[in-house]
Amino acid sequence: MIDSERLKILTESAKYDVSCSSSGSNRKNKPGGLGNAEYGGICHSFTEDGRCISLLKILMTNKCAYDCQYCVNRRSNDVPRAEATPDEICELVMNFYKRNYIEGLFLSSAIQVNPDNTMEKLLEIVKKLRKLYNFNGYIHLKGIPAADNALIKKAGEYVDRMSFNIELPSEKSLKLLAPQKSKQAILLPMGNMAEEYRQAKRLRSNNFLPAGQTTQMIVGASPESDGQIIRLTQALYKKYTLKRVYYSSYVPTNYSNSALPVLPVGLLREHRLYQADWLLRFYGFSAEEILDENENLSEEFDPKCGWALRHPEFFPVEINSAPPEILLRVPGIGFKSAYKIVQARKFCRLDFSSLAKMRVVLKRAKSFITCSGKFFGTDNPALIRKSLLLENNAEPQQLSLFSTGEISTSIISGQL
Amino acid sequence: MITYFFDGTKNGLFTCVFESFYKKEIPDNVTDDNCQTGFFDTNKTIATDKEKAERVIACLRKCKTANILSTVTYAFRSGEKNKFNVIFNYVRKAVEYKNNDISTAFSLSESLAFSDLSKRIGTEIHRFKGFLRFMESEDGYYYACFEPDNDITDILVPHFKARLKSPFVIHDVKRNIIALCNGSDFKIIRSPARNVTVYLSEDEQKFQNLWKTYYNGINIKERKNTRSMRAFLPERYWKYLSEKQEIIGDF
Repeated sequence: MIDSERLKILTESAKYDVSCSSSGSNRKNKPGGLGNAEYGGICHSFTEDGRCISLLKILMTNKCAYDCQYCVNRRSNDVPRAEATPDEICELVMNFYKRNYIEGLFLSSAIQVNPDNTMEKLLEIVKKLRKLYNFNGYIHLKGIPAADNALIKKAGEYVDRMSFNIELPSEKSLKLLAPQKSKQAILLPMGNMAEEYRQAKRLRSNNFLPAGQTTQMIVGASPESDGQIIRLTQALYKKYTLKRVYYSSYVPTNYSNSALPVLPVGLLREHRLYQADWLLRFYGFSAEEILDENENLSEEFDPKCGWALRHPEFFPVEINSAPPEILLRVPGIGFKSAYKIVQARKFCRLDFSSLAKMRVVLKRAKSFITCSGKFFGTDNPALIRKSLLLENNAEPQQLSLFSTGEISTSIISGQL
Repeated sequence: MITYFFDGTKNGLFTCVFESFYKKEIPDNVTDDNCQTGFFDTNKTIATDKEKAERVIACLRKCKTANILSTVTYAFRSGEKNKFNVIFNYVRKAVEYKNNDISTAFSLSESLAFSDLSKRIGTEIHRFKGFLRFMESEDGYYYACFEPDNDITDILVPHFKARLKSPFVIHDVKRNIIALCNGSDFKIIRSPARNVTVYLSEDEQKFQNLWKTYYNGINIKERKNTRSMRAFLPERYWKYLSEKQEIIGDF
């Protein structure tokens, strides 16, 4: 059994990986086996930082040969090092799964000797877990860029999801902060796996990466604008059929490098990027509609409100006749409200009181909609902006020398 | 104000619906509880009548509202105080709008309230697929106890049956319901109150401690957001979550 100290080290060095989802796979249990996968994914717990625990997220080892500046596990960092054997990891997964602590395993690793060697060991673990331990729960494996393609492909047959981290949003930043990694080395296996994935889907086979691929990038460690990041995201979704792109706002772990910012990036920027990401994936927006290439997302308004404010000619929208994809563009109407509206209007015409009942946020929506031709909003752009702003309950505050502890920590954590 | 008192069964509720149409009155409150009523209120005790209930059921079969009988059975699982009013109003409305499907007519407050009630049950089922915590016993079976808001134990069993290979027990402590599953069959025992003693295996405490180590280790302190954590993981569920208890023993 793995001891508590090593588990602590291997967990703490894995925690900056954002991805937690256990969705997208329909893997069935086998006779005498343990576990299956639920398509929608299941969250098993939530930590103090509000993130969910769905998978056991650990590193095989944090002894790294690379020296990426933004990373806690970089070679030059003086932190306790540890590694776990394949059997220790398998035993831990089996026992956690039986107790319903987790939905499966998220396995990643530092580059111990070289990429091939590391990938080989990771492959050994997932193979053992599936074949010897007969574990049929969810496995998300972090791919090692620059490892042999045959090894990576083989791993795809055992796991549900794989991800190669793009790390930083541009080649230039990658060169500066992660000299041993290159854009080419990351995108090549991603592309190969995407091709395999598409082929498996064409053959209606569900044995190869049933839950597809994801990636992650660090936001705020390098100078790229939100416009560039969103465009990159859109390209990744289109070209590599990725399921998700994760953003992680930079938390300083290395104060000695002058190329890195000293202060953490606020969580608001990350939040706005996710909102824009949702617009791309579910709301039918394109990156070009959301913002210009060199622009950053507004801190005041979410990206959907921002778009609505720039396009007054699109509004007002008639609730009783507009198609669902148009309804989704109205601030204050999300997926649930749009569904309710579309269903309810089959039964009778809707008015403002029925919208309020359905919990449409009328305070935000009223200037963008009509009900049976009636309009209760305002044409005054200043008032519209104000009605959208009301959502933010906290007034911005100037820090004083004698600010309370709570405000000071909120600045550090970015929880404004 | 008119209050209907009934025995809390499905047939009882359908009898209330029958009476309400028969007497051409709409009760303001339908309850199985001996609640306090106003001095000038009319209180009626509706005795369950199987024949009247059957007539309502026959009528509901002809109603256009989708799956009304199964959705009502599902809604009876709710643990909310107000559930009988919500179900009663919805059934009455469905009979009134006989030729329309009101299940998604969300502009009717009756439909919306009923849909919300059912959704809250579904949400809790999904949550406990994740929040249930099993403990390994000395003789190799797994025991989990919880206190759900709604009566959902029997719905959870097939989910765990499909993924666990060992026999397991799920115990709803609040309602005293025990689900036993030996890996192939399961049965539900709605037992009277009694104590359950489980002798834990040797390794159980070790794995619970490892789990707590993991839970504390995966948290990013710089991003503390307790409010969000509480929203996803309400405090009323913490009692049976091992990661929310202190680490026990020297380890």
